[in-house]
Amino acid sequence: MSSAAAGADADARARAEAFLARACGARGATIERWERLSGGAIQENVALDVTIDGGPRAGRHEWVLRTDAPSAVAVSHTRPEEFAILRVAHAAGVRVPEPLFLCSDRRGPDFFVMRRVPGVAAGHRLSKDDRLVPDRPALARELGGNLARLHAVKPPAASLAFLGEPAPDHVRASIAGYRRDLDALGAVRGEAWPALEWGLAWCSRNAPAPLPPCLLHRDYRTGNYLVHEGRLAAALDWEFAGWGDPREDLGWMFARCWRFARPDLEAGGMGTAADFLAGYAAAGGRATSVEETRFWQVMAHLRWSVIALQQAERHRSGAQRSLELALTAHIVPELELEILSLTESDA
Amino acid sequence: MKVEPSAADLLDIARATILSEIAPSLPEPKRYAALMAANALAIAARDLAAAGVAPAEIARLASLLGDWVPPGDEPSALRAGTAILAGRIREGRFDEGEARARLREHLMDTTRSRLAVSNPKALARDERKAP
Repeated sequence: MSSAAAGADADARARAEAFLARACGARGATIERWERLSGGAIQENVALDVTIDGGPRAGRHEWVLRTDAPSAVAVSHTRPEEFAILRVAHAAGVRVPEPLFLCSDRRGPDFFVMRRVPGVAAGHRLSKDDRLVPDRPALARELGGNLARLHAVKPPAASLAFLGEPAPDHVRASIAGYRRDLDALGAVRGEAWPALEWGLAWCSRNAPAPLPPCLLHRDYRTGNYLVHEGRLAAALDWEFAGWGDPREDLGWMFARCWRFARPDLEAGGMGTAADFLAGYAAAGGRATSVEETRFWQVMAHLRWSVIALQQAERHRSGAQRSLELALTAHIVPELELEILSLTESDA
Repeated sequence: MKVEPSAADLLDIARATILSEIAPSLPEPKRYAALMAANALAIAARDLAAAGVAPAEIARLASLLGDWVPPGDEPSALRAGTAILAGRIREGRFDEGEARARLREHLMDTTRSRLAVSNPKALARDERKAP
C-alpha cells in the first residue's frame, strides 16, 4: 500500500471510531482490526473488530463497514439507500447481515456498519465441495424460503420512496430498457448483437401477464450469499434491489451462468429448481413451475449480457482500464448460446 | 519477412510461462490476476487464428438480408451486415416461419464461432449436450 493510501485508511479509521462511539452512546470505540475484504467492483467491505467502551453496546463486536469503492458507478443504490433496503429486508425476516448504523456525516464517503456473518460465498467452492453443503436440497429450500420472505414486501414503503413507482408492466419496461442500452453501446462500439436481439424479440412475443410488484433483490444468486455450516447464513449485495415481478429473481437465480461447477443443479448449482420452488412456496411465495421460469431465465441472460457489455465498455472507453472488465465482454457469447438454446421454441 | 517467432507463437509461450513459472508462486489475489492475463493471451491467440471465418459469415449475412451488397473490406462488411440484421430482428421481420429458422441457424453458427475464440470450453459442453 502507498503511504498516501495508508494515510487515507488511518483517517477513515479514526472517523469510523468517532462515529461508532457517538452511534453507540459510548465513551469511546476502538477498532482493533481493519481489514479490507475482497468484494465487489462497486462497493468496498472492511472487516472490523471493535471494542465499545461504555453505553448499551459495551463490549467486543465483529462488524463490517461498507462504503463506496473509488471506482463506484452511478447505476447502483447509494449506501444510505442500501441501508434502508437492508432494514426493510431484515424486518421482513429475510436472512441478511443485520444493519446497525448509517454514517452520512459528510466528512467522507457515506458508510454503514452491519453485523459480520461467518460463511463462504465463493460459488466455485460451494458448488464443488460437499463438505460445505452436505444437504443440497435443504439449502435450496432455505434459499427459496428466504426469497419468498423478501417478496412478501409490497409497495409502497415509506422508507423506500427512492425506489420510485413500480413500472406498470415490468417485462415490457425491461425489454425496452435493454434495447436502449444496446443502442447506446452499439453507437459507441460500432457493434450490434443479433443473438441478443433474437432473445429480446422472443421475450417480446412470449411475455407473460405481469404479476403484482414486490421487492426484488435483483442479484440473488450463488456468489451473493453466505453459507455457514451447510445453512444459509445471509443474502448479500443489495445494491440493485427494486420493485418488480417476483419471477425475475427466480429466473436470475436459476440462470445457467450462476451454476458454477454444477450446471445440472438449476438453483445456483446448489439444488434443483423443484427444491428451491418448494421452499419458496412453503414460505408464502407464489406457486411457480420450473417451466414458467424459462422465460425469466432468458430475461436473466439478456440482463447479464447488457451489464457485461457495459462493464467491458468502461474498459474500452478508458473510463476504467481493467483486465477483468475487458474479459467480461468474452462472457457474452456463452450467454448468447444459452439464450439461443432456451428459445428454440416459443413458450 | 517478419522476424519469427511472431504473434501466435509469442502469445503461446508467454501464456505458458505465466502459467508454469509465474502464477504458482504468487499469493491468491495476484495469482488470480496472472490467470486472467494468461486467459487474455489465449483469447488473443485464438482470435488471430480465427481470422478465416469472416467470409462465410458475410456470405450468410448477404443471403439472410437478400437485398444487401456487402462493402469490399471484411471488417466494414461484418459491422454493417450485423447492424442491419440486428435492426431487422427488432422490427419483427424474422419472427416466423422459414425466415426464423434460417436466422436461428445463422445465429447458432455465428455464436459458435464467437465462442471458439472467447470460451471454447463452453462450446465443447454445448456439443456434448447436442444429440
